[in-house]
Amino acid sequence: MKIEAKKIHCVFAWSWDIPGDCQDGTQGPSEEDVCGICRVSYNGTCPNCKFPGDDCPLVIGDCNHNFHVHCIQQWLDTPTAKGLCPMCRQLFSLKRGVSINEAQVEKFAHLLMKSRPTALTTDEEDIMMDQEFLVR
Amino acid sequence: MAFLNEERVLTRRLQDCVSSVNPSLIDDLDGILTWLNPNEQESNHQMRPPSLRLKNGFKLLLDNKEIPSTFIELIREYLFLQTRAHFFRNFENVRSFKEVQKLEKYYEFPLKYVNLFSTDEWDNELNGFRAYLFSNNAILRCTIKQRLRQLILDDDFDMATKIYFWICQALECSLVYLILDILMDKVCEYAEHNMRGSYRKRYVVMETFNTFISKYWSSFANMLKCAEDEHEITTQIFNCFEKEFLRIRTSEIFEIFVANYPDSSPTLLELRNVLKSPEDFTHLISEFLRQFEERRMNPSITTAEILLSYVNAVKSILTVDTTGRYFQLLTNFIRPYVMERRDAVTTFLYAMLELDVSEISDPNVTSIHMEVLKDLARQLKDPEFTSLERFAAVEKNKGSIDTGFPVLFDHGKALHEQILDSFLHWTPEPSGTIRTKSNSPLLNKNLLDIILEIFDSKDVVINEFLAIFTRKLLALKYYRLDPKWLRSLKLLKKKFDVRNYSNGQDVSNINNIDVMLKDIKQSEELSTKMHAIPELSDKVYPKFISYLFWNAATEPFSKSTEFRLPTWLNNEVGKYARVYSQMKPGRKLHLFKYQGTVELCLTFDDGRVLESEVSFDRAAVISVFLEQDSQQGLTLMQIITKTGLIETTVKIHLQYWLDMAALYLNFDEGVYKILENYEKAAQQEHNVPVRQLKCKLRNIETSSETIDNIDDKQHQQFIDSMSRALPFIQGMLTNLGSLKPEKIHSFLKIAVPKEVGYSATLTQLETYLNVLVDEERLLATANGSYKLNKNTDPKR
Repeated sequence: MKIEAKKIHCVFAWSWDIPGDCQDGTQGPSEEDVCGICRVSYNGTCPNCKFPGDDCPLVIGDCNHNFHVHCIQQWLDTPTAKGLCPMCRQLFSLKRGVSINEAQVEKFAHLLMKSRPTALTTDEEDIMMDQEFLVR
Repeated sequence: MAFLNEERVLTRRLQDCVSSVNPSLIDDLDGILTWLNPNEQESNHQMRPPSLRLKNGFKLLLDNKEIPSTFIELIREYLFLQTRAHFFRNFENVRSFKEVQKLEKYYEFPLKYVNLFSTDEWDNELNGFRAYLFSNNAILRCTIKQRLRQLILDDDFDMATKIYFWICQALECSLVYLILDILMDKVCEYAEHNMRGSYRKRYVVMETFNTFISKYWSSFANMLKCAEDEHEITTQIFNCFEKEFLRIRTSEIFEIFVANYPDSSPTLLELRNVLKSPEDFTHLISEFLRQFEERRMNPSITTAEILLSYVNAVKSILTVDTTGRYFQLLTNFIRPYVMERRDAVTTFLYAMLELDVSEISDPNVTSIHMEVLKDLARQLKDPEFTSLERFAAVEKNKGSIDTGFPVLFDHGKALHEQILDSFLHWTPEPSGTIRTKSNSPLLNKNLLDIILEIFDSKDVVINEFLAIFTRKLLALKYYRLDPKWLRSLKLLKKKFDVRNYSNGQDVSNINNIDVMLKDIKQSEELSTKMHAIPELSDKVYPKFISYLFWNAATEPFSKSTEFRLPTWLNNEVGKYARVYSQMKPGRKLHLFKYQGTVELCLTFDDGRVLESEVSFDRAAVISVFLEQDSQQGLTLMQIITKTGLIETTVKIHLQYWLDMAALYLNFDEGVYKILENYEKAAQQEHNVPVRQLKCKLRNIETSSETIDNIDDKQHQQFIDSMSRALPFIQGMLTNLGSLKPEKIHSFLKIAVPKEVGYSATLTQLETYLNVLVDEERLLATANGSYKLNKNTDPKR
């Protein structure tokens, strides 16, 4: 007997591939993971978006906190944010080498620069952090 | 005593008169008196002409100039006396008009031969009797009135006129009220006869009135002594006909509103004109509700029929009531009942979306249902009701009056005068009106809105629609929806416009539709791109869904439902998943194994080609036979291990392939084998299904087209759906020993969670239990209950 498939109709569910989550791909996306800002699932949308996916992507922070791009952008735009992750108060930057972040790198480089105090170099970041804590 | 005395005195005086002239005439006198005397029933005239001797006697006595003139007076007196005596003795026994006539004739008879009275004199006498009879003999009065009524109702106007004028004479006045009463009865009867059941004609009132007038009015006018062109009274009669029309239509309102609906529209329009007061409406509607409850709100009526009736009724009510105030009552009335029915929303949606049998995966829907559903769909589409602007217009006017603002400003008047006018002429709603709670006027409403109001909330409808729609999209092939669905979608989206919603949950539900559609659209674009990639097979039509938005139908991600895809399929699908991650960086895919279908083409050694479209798990079952170690056949357990599917499912799929003659079961070895050579196997093996002999060879058509297979399919679906309840049945039987099917049924209804779903009837459950008995999983005991079969391997 020979079996030949003439047409295959299949249904896939896509989800954001977050490293360290589950690598094998057989396991479905877990529904507990929510954006730290809007508390909507990563695979959903931020409150302002209608369609998930390309229209409302996800970013992974260096601190391993993940947000909808729109959510974190809005946060970083506020003066009080001071370029910090809203979850852990570390300086927010995109995790490198993660495919999710690739498309967003440029946009964020600009945004992060703007939101941080000017003329700060990478070396001074720690001092800046200390100052932040002192001020508080 | 006084009478006897008087009689004796009179007789003596008469004899004296005669004997003073000629004593030999005394005998004649006696004879004549006896003949005339109504009291001498044995020897008087007996309604026969007088004998010669008597005639002679008349001549001798009455024409005799010698006899004094007092003699005639005395005879007259005598006759009066006797007649009256007879009358008063007998008047109570007179029961009918016929008897009255007989009596009158009896009295009158001798006077034909003896000229004693002038007509007036005698008539006066008779009228006296009549008046007395009529006023003192209650029974006669009744019977005569009844007779008169009956005659008129039977169209015998000659006799009726006669009786009527007799009464008039007796009472010396005309009995207009009596005739009017009868006229009313006649109108009732005539209306009943001509109006009931004739729904298809319009202007029934006018037509009935016209024929009535042309047929009977002249007779009535004659009796009433009024001119035939007396319009005041004919108008009244017309009003009576209208009232009758209303009464009759109210009594058969269910027939008109529901049972004969589209045909009865002429009468509905007529009803609209006749219905004037709020009381009429209230009465009509409450009667309708009563009949509706009696005829439709019982368990033997299917939900589809109830909904159809409801739609028809709403349309009818809207036709009759242009203010659109009353249909709300109906909605409120039947809503609780409809909501008790679990399938109400689905049934409604089936009709609205005009799904056909293949799209309704509901075992409860039969062909009869389909007919009703089609009808319902047709009624829902009725163009006359898709827009209710005309009602809206009416309501608009009403609304403006209610709020006291003038609708139109008449430029001839000063503004303040107009405003004053509109306040002064404001009329409140009549107190008899049933006020409904409806706070939203009919503006911008259409039939669909009204029908939707029958459901508790729009959420229910939306959720149910989403479920159906998700199922539809998941099963969709090649990314294109039928125009029918697009139409329904447009309509629904308009109805459930996001802007009209304050509730966030609803918005997201509606939004889901957009997301799903976009997913499908993007899937199409992606698949076109993917098909262009050489390493990918262009036979695969993947759908990439944003699973969070497809919540209504996605399978759980749990491992328990996992099974191993056949290698060839896994490879194809895996490639797609990899390419997807390249095309959409940062994303990964998860295959819904239970949602896919594959069109298989099986080629056998004997040249047979089987084509079949199957689910992935079914494909997995046949695919295990391709593996190297499968040439000697596979046992059930081996297949279960190889596929990772549960036993019930495997059995169902194996049966499918057996039926398709792709496999056969070798009983000796207890293994399933590929049926490579059909002819040979048919000769060797006895268990090759005989009915497969004819078909299946080069079976190009899809399997679903043969009736057998539809049966099989339905049976499998049934077993499939019931198998979800199996763990529960096993559990309760383990704990409780043996149970009757009724008990199991009620336990299942309580125990099975909603997600798993248990909607079978008791009979279906019994069928399933018997299947389990056949499979030796259960034992049926003598008292009709079931228990676990402990002899079988519990793992099976």
